[in-house]
Amino acid sequence: MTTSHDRVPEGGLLEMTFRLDNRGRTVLSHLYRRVPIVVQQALYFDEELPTMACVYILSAGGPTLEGDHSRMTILLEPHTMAHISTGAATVVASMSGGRAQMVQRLTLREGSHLEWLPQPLIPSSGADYTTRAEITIDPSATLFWSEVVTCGRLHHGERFAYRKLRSEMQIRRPDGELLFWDNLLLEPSDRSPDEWALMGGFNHFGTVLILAPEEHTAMLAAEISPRAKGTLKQSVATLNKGCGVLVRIVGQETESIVATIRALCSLVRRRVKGHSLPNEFPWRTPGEINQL
Amino acid sequence: MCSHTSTLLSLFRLSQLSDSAFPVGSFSFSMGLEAAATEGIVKDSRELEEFTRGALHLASESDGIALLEAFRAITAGKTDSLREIDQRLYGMKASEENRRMSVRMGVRLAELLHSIAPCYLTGHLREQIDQGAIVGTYPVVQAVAGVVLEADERALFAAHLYGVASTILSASLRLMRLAHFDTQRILFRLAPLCQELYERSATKTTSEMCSFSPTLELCQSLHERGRGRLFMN
Repeated sequence: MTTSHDRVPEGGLLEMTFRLDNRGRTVLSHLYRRVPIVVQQALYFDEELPTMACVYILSAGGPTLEGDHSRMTILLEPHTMAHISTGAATVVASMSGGRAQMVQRLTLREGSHLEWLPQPLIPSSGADYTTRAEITIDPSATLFWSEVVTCGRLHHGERFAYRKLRSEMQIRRPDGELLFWDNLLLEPSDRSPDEWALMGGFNHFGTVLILAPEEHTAMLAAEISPRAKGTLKQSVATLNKGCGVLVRIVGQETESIVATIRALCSLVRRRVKGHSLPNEFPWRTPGEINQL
Repeated sequence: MCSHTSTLLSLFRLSQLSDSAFPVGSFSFSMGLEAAATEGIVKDSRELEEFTRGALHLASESDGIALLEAFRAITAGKTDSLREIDQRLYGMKASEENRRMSVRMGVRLAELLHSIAPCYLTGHLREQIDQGAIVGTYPVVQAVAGVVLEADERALFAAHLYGVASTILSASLRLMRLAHFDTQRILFRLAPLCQELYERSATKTTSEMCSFSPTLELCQSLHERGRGRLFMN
């Protein structure tokens, strides 16, 4: 008898290629998607960078389910600019024993600029979810990559009720040189996330990876300070060979983490592009997340 | 391979390498404790114990797994794998202080090892480091030492964790209002954790190494930018 745990891995598939058109505007030149992933057409609402393609990735099928194995492949051709987010928080549904995963492959060619700011991840009780980001980046390109991971559906009484959460990130140069890899594993039944050295009583965390041309990274690292006091704590590390900066944030509210991440994105954009990140649309404020 | 040594001899020599007097430079580092003490993140012996416990978890989930995999690779005659393990571990260290500490101690241990117990393996290791073929992270060099001394992998793992704990606790005596009795009590209480951490690490490979510890990451980043001057940053 086949059980739900034996399901053949399936799930969303997304391929996007960004290219410059003859007017110097970044266009979404190739898009292939498979349900439940839906992608809106590229929009140009960012008044600070009007030639940048802004894309929202949506899910037509509700939460991520047990057995879902989704893949995203995103390519930025030379000198393109894209800002990608998700339409809503990614909820990983409750699971009875199986797991789900998302693999993301990002390739940034020379001089390209990508801002990846998805809405938070909410793992439900029993969820076993793995995300893997495989990033290949040219030394002249800029990547602002972020994720916010919540402790679960707090307003359903779920706090670290998931089974396993794994987030792996691997960054390489086009010649294959490994720059950095980060591997995060939380298994609450094995080791409490509330332990002092882990979340230390905080609910949510965010990770920000900034990769930029060498002439910018030292300044960016100097401009971002660690925070040891208050309701939000933040560590800052300069990656090997000064290729980038890793920022880890823990906090009690997703709003403050998301706001911090947007402020960091704005900082990077000002340094690299000379423009700020506009304010978030009011209907996309993270306060909604706590209503779940 | 080097000359045969008995278990007793192996244990004696492993103790020599783990001793705080063994000059690999561990006394120069506090693993972020200096900033943690300065900023009031670690204030007393209870918090110091939590700090040390967290550091042991982190060490076992990253360095410890690399140590065991490197040890097994050398034992199986697959010394070519050392390069990959070394690069993978180095690539995982986000903090500059961590990278510097690991390589400085690793290179120093390789020099010492070749000086006091020269053999083909120690010579080959020195060559690989000198040529830049491997960076020389401390756990990878420790694995070579373990093979040279014919140590048991459990004993080697314990020696590694002991080194982490003793580095922090020795530093604490210079940073906090504590007595030797306090730090020795902490060390004694944390010892049983070693078995549990070994069981977890022994079945994992370097692709499963983990580096997530927000509080320790914060302490290290504060230390890198801090004004503390007792320990290297």
